[in-house]
Amino acid sequence: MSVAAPVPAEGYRHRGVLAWTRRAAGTGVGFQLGAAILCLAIGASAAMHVTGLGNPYGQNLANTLAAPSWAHPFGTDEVGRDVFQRTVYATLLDVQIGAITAGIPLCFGLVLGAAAGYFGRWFDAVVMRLCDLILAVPLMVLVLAIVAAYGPGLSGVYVGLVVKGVPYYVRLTRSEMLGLRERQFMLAAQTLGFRTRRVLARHALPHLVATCLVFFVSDVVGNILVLAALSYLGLGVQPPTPEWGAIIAEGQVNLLTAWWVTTLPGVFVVVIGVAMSLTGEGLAGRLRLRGWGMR
Amino acid sequence: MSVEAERVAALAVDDLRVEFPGDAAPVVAANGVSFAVEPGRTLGIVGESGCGKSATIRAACGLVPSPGRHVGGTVTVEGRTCSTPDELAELRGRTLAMIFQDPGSSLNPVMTIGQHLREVLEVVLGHSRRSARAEAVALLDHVGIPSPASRLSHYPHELSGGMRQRVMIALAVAARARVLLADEPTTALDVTTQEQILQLLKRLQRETGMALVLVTHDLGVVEEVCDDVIVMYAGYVVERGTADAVTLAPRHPYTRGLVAAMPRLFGRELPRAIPGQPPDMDGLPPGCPFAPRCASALPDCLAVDMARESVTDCACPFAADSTSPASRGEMIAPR
Amino acid sequence: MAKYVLVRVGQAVPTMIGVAIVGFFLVHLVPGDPGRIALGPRASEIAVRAFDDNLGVNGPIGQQFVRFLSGVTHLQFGQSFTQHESVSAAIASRIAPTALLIGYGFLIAVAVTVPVSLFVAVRRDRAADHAVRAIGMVCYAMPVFWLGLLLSLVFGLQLGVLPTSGYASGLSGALKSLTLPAVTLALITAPLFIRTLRASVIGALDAGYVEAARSRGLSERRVLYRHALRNASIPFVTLVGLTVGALVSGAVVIENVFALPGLGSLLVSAVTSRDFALVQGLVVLLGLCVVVINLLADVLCAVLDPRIRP
Repeated sequence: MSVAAPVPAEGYRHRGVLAWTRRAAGTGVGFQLGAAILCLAIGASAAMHVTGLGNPYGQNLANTLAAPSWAHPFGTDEVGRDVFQRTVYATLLDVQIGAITAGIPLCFGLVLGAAAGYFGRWFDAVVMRLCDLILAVPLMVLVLAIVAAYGPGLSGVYVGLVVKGVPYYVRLTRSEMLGLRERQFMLAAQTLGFRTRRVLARHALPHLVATCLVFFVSDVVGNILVLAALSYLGLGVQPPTPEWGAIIAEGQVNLLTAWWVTTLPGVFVVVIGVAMSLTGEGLAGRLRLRGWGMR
Repeated sequence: MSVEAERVAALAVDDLRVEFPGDAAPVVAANGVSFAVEPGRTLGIVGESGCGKSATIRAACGLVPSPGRHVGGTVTVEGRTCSTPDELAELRGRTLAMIFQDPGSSLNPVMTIGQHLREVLEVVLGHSRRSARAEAVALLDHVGIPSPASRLSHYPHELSGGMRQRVMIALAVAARARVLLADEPTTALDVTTQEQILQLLKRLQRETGMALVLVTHDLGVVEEVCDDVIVMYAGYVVERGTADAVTLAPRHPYTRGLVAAMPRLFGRELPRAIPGQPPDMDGLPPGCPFAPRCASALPDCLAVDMARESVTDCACPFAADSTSPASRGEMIAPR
Repeated sequence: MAKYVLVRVGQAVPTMIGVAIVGFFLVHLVPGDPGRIALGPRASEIAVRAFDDNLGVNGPIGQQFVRFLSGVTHLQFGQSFTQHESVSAAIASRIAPTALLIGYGFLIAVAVTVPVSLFVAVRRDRAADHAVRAIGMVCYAMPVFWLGLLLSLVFGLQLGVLPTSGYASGLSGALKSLTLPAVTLALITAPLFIRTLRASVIGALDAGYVEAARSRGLSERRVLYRHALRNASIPFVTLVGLTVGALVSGAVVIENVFALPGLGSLLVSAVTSRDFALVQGLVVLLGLCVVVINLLADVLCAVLDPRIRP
């Protein structure tokens, strides 16, 4: 028996769909798809806001609760408004609020967490205690309580989401910093004192930012969902401003007869959420590939 | 009992082939490996990391770690031939047993020593609760663990490395297996404990007549405990013979390199490392895999039929049949 | 073991005090006079003053805090002006549906998680694994209330098998009313559970002791359950402790979707009508519950894993 030619092992039997998917995932198809959907949706929404295209507020009492059609892909609601246009119009608002209420905690949390990890001792203990307190109260309960203080409307939503978001970034950044400290400070100990800070800025900061960005994307999704829940409960965005949760709430009373008013906007939300998750995972993959991760 | 029956191998591996998925083509970790061990004898499998000795021994009891696959060859245990891991699975416990390199990670951290032993005794051997406990104490005592009864309620993290390895051995021999496979059982231990464990294994072998297969990268261990040895390189067996013959008069250039690399207490020669790197298993050159690092390589080495040569005593058809001690000190210059 | 429990309880006490501090502080976030904001511009000064007294926001802040803390230890938070009874009474009368909902939802989530995790852990990176991960991604993006409405549309209104709102009396009636809400809650939390348990089981299956157990002749089934799952459940218990908060959050919204008379709908109506005392009481109580459950989860971990206890 001569030296055998490569015998395809059983694993190669699945050369078809699964191997293709695996290869596709490696090249970032998920990231591209997610990013494309997001750009499309946000772009369309921005176009509606800026150019006044479409008619998200226009009522048409002659055509209420119409079933989905080419003219109205999501049908019309109780007062004849085009649900699809309202949903797309709301995209910009929801994504904006989601991003801002995740971005502010990111900035605060990054600084606080890095400082806590760097300076340590009592500062670290105090910061961690505060985080534990905020995290001890269930998310919706905390946000609702803050909304109670400020009343229905966006100010309560903003404060609530920002307060609940900060501890996550603090803990994330702090634990990364603690890990980095082991390595960076070893080198820095051999150089002059003030170079330590420069070393931190040049090496630690990019890594911390990268870690936070990965969490940021799923945080945006989470915040949008909380905002939608608050609006659904009547405590977030106030009518007639279109917002995903509010649109779904408006359709609830006609759930049996005109299910599309509630159901289809939700599908839209899920698609956007999945697109964001895909983008986030793709981003994480790419950042790791570029060697930003220290591991 | 006839002489032939007495000579039936406890374990016989024939043309074993283990593959792992690779980038372009599968990586062959074990390529046509064949050997046999008789009851009461110890076989050593020697080689560098990545030479396929672990894959071989794991395939021999049907435990090739995924994504690896046992794709060819048979394993015959006491006359019963198996060609798939499932068939070998049936023999594990009572006929085949294995001990691993790191005793710390081979014991379940949330189970007591007693629970480990009782599990094997009750589930595999069918003991009752009471007899299992007595047998467990006897087993621990037999492998040299002091105050065995009190150890039953201890957890693995409460024992030292040497103790844990003794527990592993106790678990492996609990079912009185006929073949014990040991994957670098002493690598993770300090030198004095190593010695104790090896002596324990030999003693158990003498008492039960089991066959012992010992995988190691340490030629010193081979010299001390093994009767026979096979040397592996890049998935092939490159030399085989009795331990004395192979360590005192190695024939294959790789084996000679290994022997020359051993530090010696006596003699004036310093150990010499084998130049070059272990082979990249993803793209082996044709012919002999050691050719790139071999000082005595010839152009004909690229045409060597490894499948045929590997089953002989020495896989190098050009090896000098030398038994002079000077051959150990030969210069092995990089190519 | 007892020592570990005591230490853990000792660690939890400052957190509980902290929760009380958070509750206290929340009322002081109000931009303006709480009584005036709650009762409106036309209410009398006397009514506003009485409201503020009840809330405990009159007087020096140190005194306020001490009074508040002592109130917490007696589980007294004043009167709820919307429910016309004391806050503790209002909460006590509505705790059962919420507790049942969370328990029921949790059980369903675990009942789904364990088999699915084991199934995909054994088939790592194959089609089933990817499918489950994709479903998880979709579930994460679903708004809780939308999912609840969808389920009630399909199972409640169209198929008519389960009630979509209200809360029947008696145990079987209660369970029936809670089924759709509990399933909704389970569908939201299960993906996170599955992701964690799957990773733990894979970690356990890769561990040396699993291979060693196989080498001793133990069956694959026994290895999977007695070794891999048993060890993997320890980090899972820790995760469960951490997700209680998420379960409560989900329950708050779900109660409103399905019109259940529990703490969640009580909280939302309290927020809407600016009944600060009631909001305060709910925040503190729910926070304390989460702390206690986390404590119990940690103790359970110590029971399961001998390495944790000193």
